[in-house]
Amino acid sequence: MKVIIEGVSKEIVMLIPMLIGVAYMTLGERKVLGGMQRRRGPNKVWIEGVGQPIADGIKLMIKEGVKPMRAEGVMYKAGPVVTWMLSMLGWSVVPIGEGEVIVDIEVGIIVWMSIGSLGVYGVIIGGWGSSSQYSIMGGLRSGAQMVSYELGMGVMMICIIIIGGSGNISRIVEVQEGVWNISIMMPVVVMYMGVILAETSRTPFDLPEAEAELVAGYNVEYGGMGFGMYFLAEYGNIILMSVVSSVIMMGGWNSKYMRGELVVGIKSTIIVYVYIWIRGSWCRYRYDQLMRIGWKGVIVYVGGYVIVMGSIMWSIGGVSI
Amino acid sequence: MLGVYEVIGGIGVISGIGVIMKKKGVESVVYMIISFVNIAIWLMRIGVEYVGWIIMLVYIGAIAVLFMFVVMMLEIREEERGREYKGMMVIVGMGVGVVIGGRVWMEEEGREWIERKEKIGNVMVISKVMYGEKMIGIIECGMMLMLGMIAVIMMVEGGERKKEEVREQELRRWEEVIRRKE
Repeated sequence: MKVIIEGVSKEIVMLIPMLIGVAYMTLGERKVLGGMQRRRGPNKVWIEGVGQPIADGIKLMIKEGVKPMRAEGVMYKAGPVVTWMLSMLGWSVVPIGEGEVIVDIEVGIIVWMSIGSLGVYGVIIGGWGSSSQYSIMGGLRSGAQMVSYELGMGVMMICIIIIGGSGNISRIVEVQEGVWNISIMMPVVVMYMGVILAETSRTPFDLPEAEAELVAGYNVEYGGMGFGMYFLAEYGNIILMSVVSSVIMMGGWNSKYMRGELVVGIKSTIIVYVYIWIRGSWCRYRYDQLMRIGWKGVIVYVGGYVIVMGSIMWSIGGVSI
Repeated sequence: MLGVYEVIGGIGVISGIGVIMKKKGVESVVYMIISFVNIAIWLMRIGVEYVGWIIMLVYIGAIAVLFMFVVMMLEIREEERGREYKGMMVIVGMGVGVVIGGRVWMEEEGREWIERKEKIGNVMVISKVMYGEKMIGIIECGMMLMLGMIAVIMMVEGGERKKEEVREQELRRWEEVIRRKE
């Protein structure tokens, strides 16, 4: 009983700030995009639009959920729930500070990747359950994209595990005390940025929701809180991906001047800002280009880098703290 | 009082039956995924969490997704799923389940294998068992997989394929062709 209460309270402490972060990330995104296009962004609700996310949330919550007539009942309802749940579950192994993690296990990175790979199902089930051609095509495209880029991500994680000598994320941060992984992995860091953009279906890889071809992709038939859950999951995944990147690539909470959590927060915010920045300045790839980059580019080059990294680590006899 | 293993096993059996009883292909695949998840959770419970998470990552996250893609794209009609064999399928499946389950139950080596991981770690035990002591078994499994692959290639390549002879079709209706060109 004590274990359950402890776990649930840890989850709550972790998740509520995350949900608020998601809400305000949408506002931040609209503000930044507005600034890039020389507009003001949302500025009417409360002071300079600070109340906008709350208003949006209330609007989504009180909207009537209309189920399409031909939709498959259970699948249609399960899609957003599965996506949202898995997006939240990903936080269970990700540390945000020294020892501040819900479960600290030896295979942390593999667990995080497995949970991320299950996220495909929410999208596919939702797309199929809607019984609409647009959403089925959107679901398939999104699923194919996520599966393809997961491979590239997995190979990069092999590099990280080789460098850290362990799958435990806290241990990987300890190893980065002197030098960040971002400098050791320099040749593939650009690809890493591309892969995390593709994993979260963001520009320039936002093919699943290509408006011109697919209306809105897999979530075209969802309104109200069904859409809201997909939306929360998508932005939650972006924040999760940023936190994980800052932890495994950018040195995590190692700092002499500030509290560890604050350092992780600042680094993650920078990555989230880069996400928005890229959205504001790049245009979308074609689907065949996306697949070519994934299968013939990222996986091949990073696979080569695994051999290089493995040889270096083998010759120096691994890292020791 | 039901324990964790009974609950997991029960859900596994029910979802296994669901795989062959459901009419829609996609629903069958969903049941299959549920049974895979059960296997993964079961492995985590008995202490080989590395293998459990790898099953989660590889089988559920990649291979089952591809199954689902194929099933969604094919739109198999309900009649084609062999309604008359359904009862037999359940019996055969249960028989296979009993045989495999019994083997796992009887296997004493397996428990010793799990106990040993406490000393040298999970991943190391798996590598020692797979590529050291039980290497012959791994090679046998590999041979079986290769047999399956060859069978699939034979099925695809061996059958007669319908090939369209465009030039011949054009020649057969030469009058039309010429008239169109004029």
